[in-house]
Amino acid sequence: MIVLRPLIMVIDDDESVRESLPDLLAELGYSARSFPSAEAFLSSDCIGTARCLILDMAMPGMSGLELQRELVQRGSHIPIVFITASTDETIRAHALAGGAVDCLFKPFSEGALLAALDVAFH
Amino acid sequence: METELTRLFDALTESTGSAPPDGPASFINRRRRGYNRLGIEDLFGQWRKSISRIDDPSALLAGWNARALASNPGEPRARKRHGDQDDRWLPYRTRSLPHASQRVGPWTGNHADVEKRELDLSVIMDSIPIPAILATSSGGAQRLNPPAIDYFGSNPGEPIDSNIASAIHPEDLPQVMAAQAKARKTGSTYDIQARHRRADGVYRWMNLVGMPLRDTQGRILCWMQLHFDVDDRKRPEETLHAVERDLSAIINMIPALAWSARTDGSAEFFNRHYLDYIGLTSDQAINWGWTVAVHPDDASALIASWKSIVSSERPGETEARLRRFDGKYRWFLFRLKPLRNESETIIKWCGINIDIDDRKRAEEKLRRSDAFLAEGQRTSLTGSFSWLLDSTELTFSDELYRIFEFDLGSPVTLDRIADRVHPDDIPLLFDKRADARSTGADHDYEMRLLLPNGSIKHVHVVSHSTRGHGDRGEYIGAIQDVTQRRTSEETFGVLRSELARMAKINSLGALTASIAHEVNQPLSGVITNASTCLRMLAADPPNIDGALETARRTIRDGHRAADVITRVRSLFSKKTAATERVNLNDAAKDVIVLSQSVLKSSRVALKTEFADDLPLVIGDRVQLQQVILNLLLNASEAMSGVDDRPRQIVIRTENDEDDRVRLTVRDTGAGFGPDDISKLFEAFYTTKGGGMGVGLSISQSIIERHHGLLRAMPNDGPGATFWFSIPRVTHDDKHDITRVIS
Repeated sequence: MIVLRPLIMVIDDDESVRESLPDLLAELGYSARSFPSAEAFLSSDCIGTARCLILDMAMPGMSGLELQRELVQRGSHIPIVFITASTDETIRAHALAGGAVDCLFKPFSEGALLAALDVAFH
Repeated sequence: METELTRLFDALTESTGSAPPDGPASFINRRRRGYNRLGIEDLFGQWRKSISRIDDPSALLAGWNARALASNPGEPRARKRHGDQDDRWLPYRTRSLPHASQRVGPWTGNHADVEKRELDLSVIMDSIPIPAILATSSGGAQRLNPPAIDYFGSNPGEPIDSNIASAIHPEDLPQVMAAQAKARKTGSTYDIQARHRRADGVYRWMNLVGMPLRDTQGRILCWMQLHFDVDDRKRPEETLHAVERDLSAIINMIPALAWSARTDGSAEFFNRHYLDYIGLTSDQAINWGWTVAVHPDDASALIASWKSIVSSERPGETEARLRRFDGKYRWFLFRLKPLRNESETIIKWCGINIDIDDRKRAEEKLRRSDAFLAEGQRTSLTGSFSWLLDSTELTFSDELYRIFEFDLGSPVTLDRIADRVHPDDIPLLFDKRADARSTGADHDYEMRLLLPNGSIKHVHVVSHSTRGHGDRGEYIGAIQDVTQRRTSEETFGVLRSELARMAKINSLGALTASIAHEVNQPLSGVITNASTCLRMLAADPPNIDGALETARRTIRDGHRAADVITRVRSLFSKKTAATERVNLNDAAKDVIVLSQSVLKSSRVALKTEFADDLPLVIGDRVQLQQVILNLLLNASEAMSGVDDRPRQIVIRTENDEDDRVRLTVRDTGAGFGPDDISKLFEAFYTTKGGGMGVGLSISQSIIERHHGLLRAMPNDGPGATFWFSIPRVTHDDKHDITRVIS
């Protein structure tokens, strides 16, 4: 029996994130694709198929928050988990106010990630 | 008959020679000018006629003679025995001469002659022992007696008149002529003093007495003028007058204001100089009038002193300002001295006022300059001293007493000074003293004082030797309390390093995001990869390859994190300046790595243009990196409001002229105007809201210590360019890495 794993998009300009996170997600039972920028994601054909976004906040070009707004404008309701290396708590508030599922501060533990994904998929 | 005779006798006084009764001819040749009554011939004709009718001419003669001899005023008479006329007493006026020290006569010697000889007025005249001149009624001289001839000298060629007239001193001539004219008009005698030139040219004072000789009718026939020599008496008078005149001139000439006052103090006399000085006339100044010239502020004090001196009856002096004729006031010393008579009573006060204005102004100036000096010493905390090298005592100025905390005025000895000097500086002190005594060189040094209360003062000593006081060596100098400056400098030094630290911390604030990013990124990778590794190992079957890979990544990321920590630590360490060879490209790259996250979050694109063969520079790597970081963060900050164009920073390294290496940071931010350039580098200037603004000024001082330049300028387009250039390592330096960065 083929079990379709939910597709999670990892959008982060940081290479090491794109390198390590999909592997962890795979171990956690998800499938993942990564994009180096918001623009790259938007111009792909995966918008419809993504079940969840793990989105970096600070990126050159369109930021994570801007992408969130863009998707809302497009009428998409994809759950978004933000990740950020910043230590600013207010960013988290912003993110949640915008409808995000969660905002994780790097470095985040596996447990924190799982919890966020739980919310996203349920 | 008698009348006729007397008249003729009288007339004959006009004749100038002897007149024997029977010899008129001898007179003929001596006519006088202006005689207009009787001709001589007529006169003598009548004379002869008259005489021949006289029975006893000798009696007449005697009478005439007697009256001529009479020294008392009187009217000797002569009786003539004539038949057809009454006897008449004829007055012959004579006058006693009050001034004459000689009396008319005695002519005793001549009596006999006269008796014997025939009446001879000229003989009488000749026997007068003083110069006598017979003059016509109009004044012309007609006959001189021998003394007159002797005195005036005769000039045979010239008429007698001019001799006489010219003999009178020109200054006295007018008076003489006036007196004579008056006498002629009134018929009275004249009595006047005038100088007459003697034959030898000397002028002598003569008392001139002129008396008219009248006929019986009282008509003036001629004048007899007698000259009494009063020169000896007059000269002393003259001399006295001259002396008085000279004294007066002297008093008026002395450059002091001389005056005299009465015993009540009221002024009596002012010399010319005084009156001219205060611009008053004598009348205006006498009594108390002169007080108007005294300065109003000094007037009452002056009067009070004046009165007190006068009542003390002793010489005294006082000072006051007098007003000059032009209105200017000057200080004068008033000196009073009493003048006493033989019985020691004060009869008047004499005084002299001496101009002391210049002295007073000089005194005032000196007082002010002394006060100024004292003030200057106090303000600058500098005291002065002098030391006669062969003694153990010194002279200190007031300020120096204060610096050493000695009681003002107490004696200052070498030992007392040594007591105040910090123990560690005693050797220095003794060294300098010995040097002063032996070589006399100039000194300029600092030392410390340790005061009784335990506080320390830093003093700067400057001194040199002078050769005053004959041969005795003398040292004079100044000592300044520089404690405040020292402590200020130290404080400033501490403050400066603190400030630099704060700047780092400030940068640190701006770097928080960056550091967080830089550290968190690899850490994130560590955790993620480690988690994955565990899962892979726990899978059934375990994913060994996967685990290995993730483990590898974990280690790699761990190193990365440690690396960032090291960079950050070294950037913000408190190490003192190091000196090493630095590759600016590498240094810049390290900084860029640390700032990547900041730049990313600010959405700033960074472009690097590093020169390939960039020479090394000598300096402190960490400090130079601080500068690069400062410029980078500023550039990023400058673009924070920019949305209409790309935010771009370019970092460039290149060779610069004069063997330098240049690093440039260029942005597309807000830029700045030409006025802001100087302000940019001022400490505390900032356009950042929360910034401390010390970055640029500290960066500048770092570059300066590297013997470099830090400059800024606005771009042609948007934004600004900051660059610094520092000397590259030269061939010589390659072997001398110890060149210290100051």
